[in-house]
Parts: sequence; structure tokens; C-alpha cells
Amino acid sequence: MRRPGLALCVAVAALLAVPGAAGARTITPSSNKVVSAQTAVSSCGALSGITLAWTSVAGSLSTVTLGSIPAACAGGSLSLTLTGTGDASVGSAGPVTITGTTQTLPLSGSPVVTTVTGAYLSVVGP
Amino acid sequence: VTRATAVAVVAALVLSWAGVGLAASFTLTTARLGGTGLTTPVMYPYVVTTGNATGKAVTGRIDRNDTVSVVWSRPIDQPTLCSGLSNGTPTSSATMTWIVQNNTGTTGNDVLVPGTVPGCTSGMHVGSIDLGSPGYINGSNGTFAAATTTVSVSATITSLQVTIPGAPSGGTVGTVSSGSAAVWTPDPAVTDLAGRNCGASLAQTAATVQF
Repeated sequence: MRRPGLALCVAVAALLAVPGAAGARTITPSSNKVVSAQTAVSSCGALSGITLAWTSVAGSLSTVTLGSIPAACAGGSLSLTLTGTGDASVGSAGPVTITGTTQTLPLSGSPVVTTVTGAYLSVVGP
Repeated sequence: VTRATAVAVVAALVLSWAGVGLAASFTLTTARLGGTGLTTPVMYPYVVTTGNATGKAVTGRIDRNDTVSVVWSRPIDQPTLCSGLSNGTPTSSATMTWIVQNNTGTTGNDVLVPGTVPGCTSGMHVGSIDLGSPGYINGSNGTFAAATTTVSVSATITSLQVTIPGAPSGGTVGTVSSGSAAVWTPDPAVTDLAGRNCGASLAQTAATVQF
């Protein structure tokens, strides 16, 4: 004897499960354990006080010199990105280990100096 | 039907949530994280070049009509360069002394600096140019008197050009066959019209042999 209730159950389950299943197809499972936690993070010092100067060779940048790096940041890992039109990256430096309050970094990209409009710095650690 | 629907909903939730619990794990290794935007220089030494204007066969030697040029990235406040200059004058010329100091750079290279100039009470605040070799002047400092020096201020930049008038007094010129890039350290006294100076920024030549 056929059981219409069971058939309906299966159909509804399949329909409701489809969105979740479709979303999972793009994820590569690596764990079935979920844990959440939080911890406070803080900067090693007042990074906004860091000064930026640079050296150009025939109008293109070769190095940048950062000054007034907080002493407490020594040992941390510093990265710098220079940006141009549309905030697009035009050059970068690091990551390097901070060794003092003034540090000169070689640049990758050698951007034309007049195209640089922004600079963003991050420090991880120490 | 009601019971079947309930079973279906539960089954669907189980299937859907199975796809949720897949977050990758990570380990936080430091509680020190910081980032900021920095102010990029607006006023800086843009370009420094030396020129072999006469097209002589021997490069690496300072000769008559050779040139040295520097360019600031902004129109400068002209009196900060020389007290006798006035803003609003696009081109000014002076006949003045330039000196190549013998081996006085931080690594022993010769260094070009402005000398005396009439009309500039505290001098011409160009700064100094390490020429990248100790071999351009030998013996003692070389003084180039009466060198034509032209300052040009446009809407976007300021340039200054020195033309070598001839042989120096004092030291003797030498010929450099290999060296390093020349490095211009601008005088912080010079500012743009907003009062900004060049800070610690520098400019280098692409060439490693000058003149």
C-alpha cells in the first residue's frame, strides 16, 4: 500500500535541503568541528606617527625610509604597500623584521614617484 | 501530513547544517596587530642629473659647459632658496660660485655644494650632491667661480641648473671611469608654498659616472 505522507515527507526534505547542499559544494571540508573565541589585540605603538620618506632614481622610487617607529615594535614584522590611482598597489616593501626606530626598505615595483598617492603600513607582533 | 512535514523539516535542517560546520581552523600567534595609512611626501627631491653638454668623448670629467640639474617636486617658496628671490618670478639667473669638495662625502666621495652668491644673504639652499666617486676633483677643493645658475619655477615643479664655467681653482679635475650614482640631499630650509620641506627624501642619478 502506498504511503502518500512518506512520499511528501521525502519531497519536502529534498526541497528544503537543496539550498544548503548547493552552498556546501564550493567548500572543501577540512573539519567538522566549529569553535569560536575572541581575544583582544592591540598595536605595538602609535603607528600613525611613523614618517615616510623615499629615494628616487631618475624619477622612480627605489627605497622608502620609515622614521619614528615605536621602539616597542622592534622584532615585529612590518609590511608597506604604496598605492596609486584607485588605491591600486604600485609598489610594496616587506615583510621585514623591525630592527630600530628608523628603517630603510627596498621597494618592489619601482613606481614612478609622481604616481604614488597613498601608503599603508601593517605591523604584526612582536 | 503534519508529522511528515515536521520530519522533513528536521531532515532538511540536518542536511543544511552539515554544510555549515566546515570552517577552516586557524591559530592566532600574536595579540599585537596594527595598521595605518601614512602621509606620503608631497615636497621631495624629484630628479638630479648631470649633463655632458658639449658631447665630449671623455665622460667622467667636469668640463666647461657640463651641467648639474636638480628638480623639486613642487613650486618652491623662492625666498627659502635664496633671500634675494621673489615668488611670482618664473625664471631667475645668478652668477655664483660652486665648490666640489674633495673627498668629503660620508664614504669619501667628492661633494658638490653651492658657494657664495650675491643677493642670497644666507646662501643658496640647494643642499649637497655626493658625486659618487672621489675622483672628480683631486688635491683639494675645486672652486668653480662665476657659474651660471638658473632657477625655473613652473606650476608644478621647480628646477635649478648649474653650468660649469671652466676649470676650477684649487683642486684639479680628474677622470672617473667607474663610480656610484650621485645622491642629492636637499637643504631642508627650502619649502614649497605650503611650508613643506623635503624631509629625509633623496634623489639619485641613474648614471654611475657623471658629466
